[in-house]
Amino acid sequence: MGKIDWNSLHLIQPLTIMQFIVVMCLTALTALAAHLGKAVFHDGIRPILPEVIEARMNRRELASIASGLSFGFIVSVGISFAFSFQMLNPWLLFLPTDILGILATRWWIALVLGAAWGAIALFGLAGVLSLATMLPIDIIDPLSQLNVGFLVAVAVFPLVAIMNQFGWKRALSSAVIVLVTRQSLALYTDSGIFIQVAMTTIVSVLLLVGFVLHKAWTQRRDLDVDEQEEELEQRIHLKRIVKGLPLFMAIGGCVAIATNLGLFTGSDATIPYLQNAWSAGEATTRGGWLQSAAVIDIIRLLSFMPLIVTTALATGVYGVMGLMFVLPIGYLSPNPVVAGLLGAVVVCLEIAAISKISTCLQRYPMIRETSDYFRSAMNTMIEIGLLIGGALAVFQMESSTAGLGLMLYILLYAANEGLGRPVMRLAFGPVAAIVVGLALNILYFTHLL
Amino acid sequence: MIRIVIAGLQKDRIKKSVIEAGGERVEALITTDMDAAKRVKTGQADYYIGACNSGGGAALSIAIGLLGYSKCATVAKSGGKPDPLKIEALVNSGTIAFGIAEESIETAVTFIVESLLKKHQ
Repeated sequence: MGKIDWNSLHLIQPLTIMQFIVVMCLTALTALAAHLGKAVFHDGIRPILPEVIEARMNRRELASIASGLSFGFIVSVGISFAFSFQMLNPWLLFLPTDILGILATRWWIALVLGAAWGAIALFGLAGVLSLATMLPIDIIDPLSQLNVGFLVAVAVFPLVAIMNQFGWKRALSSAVIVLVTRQSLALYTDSGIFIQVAMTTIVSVLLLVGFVLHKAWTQRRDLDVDEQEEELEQRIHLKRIVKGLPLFMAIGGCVAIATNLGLFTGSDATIPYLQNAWSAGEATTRGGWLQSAAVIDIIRLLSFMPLIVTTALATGVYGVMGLMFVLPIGYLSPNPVVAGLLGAVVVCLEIAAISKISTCLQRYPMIRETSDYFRSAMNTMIEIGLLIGGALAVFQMESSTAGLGLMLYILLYAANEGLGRPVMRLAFGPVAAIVVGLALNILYFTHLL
Repeated sequence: MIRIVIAGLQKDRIKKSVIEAGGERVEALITTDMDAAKRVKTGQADYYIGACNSGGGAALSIAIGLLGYSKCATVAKSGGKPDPLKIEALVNSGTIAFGIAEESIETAVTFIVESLLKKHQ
């Protein structure tokens, strides 16, 4: 058994009091928001919360619905992503605080439970990671291979969206343009890999946006949506959201600080970019990765905006991270203090813009349609990227017996498919790679390796 | 003819499964969650099927907002298998909007459409 190699763990190496305080404040506040019925993270709980506020359902009932919806996500995505990428994520932090906040019968109980969960998550992650470094067959280092598949798949997700929405001909010609751009950069300039990946992403995003705008232009029509009744109800709900503003600003500030400290990743698609950024030594390289992350994040949050805005106005319950502009603000800010202040301001601006965005969504139904294609394509690419990344990771774990890890990995895949996918596709890569790593260590301890 | 509207993620896969299970007896229309929920509410469509990662988030949230919680149900959660008997019971008790986790689209949609066909014989 080796000693704990603290240097290989960038998360816990600088684990400071400040990080603990930020994470505990964050989870305490999100639990409070869920308790007060002001905001939750899970999109599916938002429309049900009014049932509790208006006393048609009791807290226990909703909490059991919430845990039913979230359990698979917390266990498979939340835990495996946190372990594999060494960062806290919203599925690990906020899905449980949704449940805890709903379950709590008093506001201060929600605060205490939330803060406790934050401490458990951060302590637990740091502890498990440091235990894992003592394993004779290293799994932490090979897990960084997950990033490889993840990164390249996410970088070109817009091409898949183009294919699904506009057909294979446009997708193929876009792919050619993207490829030529990337290879010209690689051959004729001295740009680093991150500029090449970032340009791949930016060019494919621009092509996608171009096709969408073109379609919107050719189909434009003036829809006169004037539903007085709905508008009145929406105005009441908007007032409810505005009342929660101080709480949302505090949460926004904490999210931005946690993101700025490299402790927290707010969205799945940006994980590989952020991880590369935080482990990069050079400031310019780091900046490049962070800017690429911002491009992906902005596209991603545009694709979630219709859903969040519409459900927020229809129910009066907001999302804990708002429209999520706070995430890029967090990691692009130069230091935690600026991040916290800007985070709170951005949350404010988002709420000010909500009813404008809602009118826009009603006038241009195309936005909604396009956002579904965005999200489908992004999901598909993350699944494939992580599946292949996981295979690369297990391939690196087996040094003496070639093929053993990969064999186990493929067996796990077949088993998961055959059993009706108890592990979500999105989480399969990380979960299976961790399981294979543990299995190899067990073989080692039983002298079978 | 049962009119089904489809929303959320992976809509093409849902439509394929609906047509496979229902053939000539169903009509499937791919649209957005807002439009789909409105169609069901105003009687332009009979049932709503949507998918997302968990089966209860983006798949159903707008449908719940417009149609009411009691008319909507998640029939396949992430990490769990869809149960044909439960789906049949939900259909018979008047559920009109169904949410599915992306993993289980094919199996769950087949169960839903079969139960609907049985109900509307």
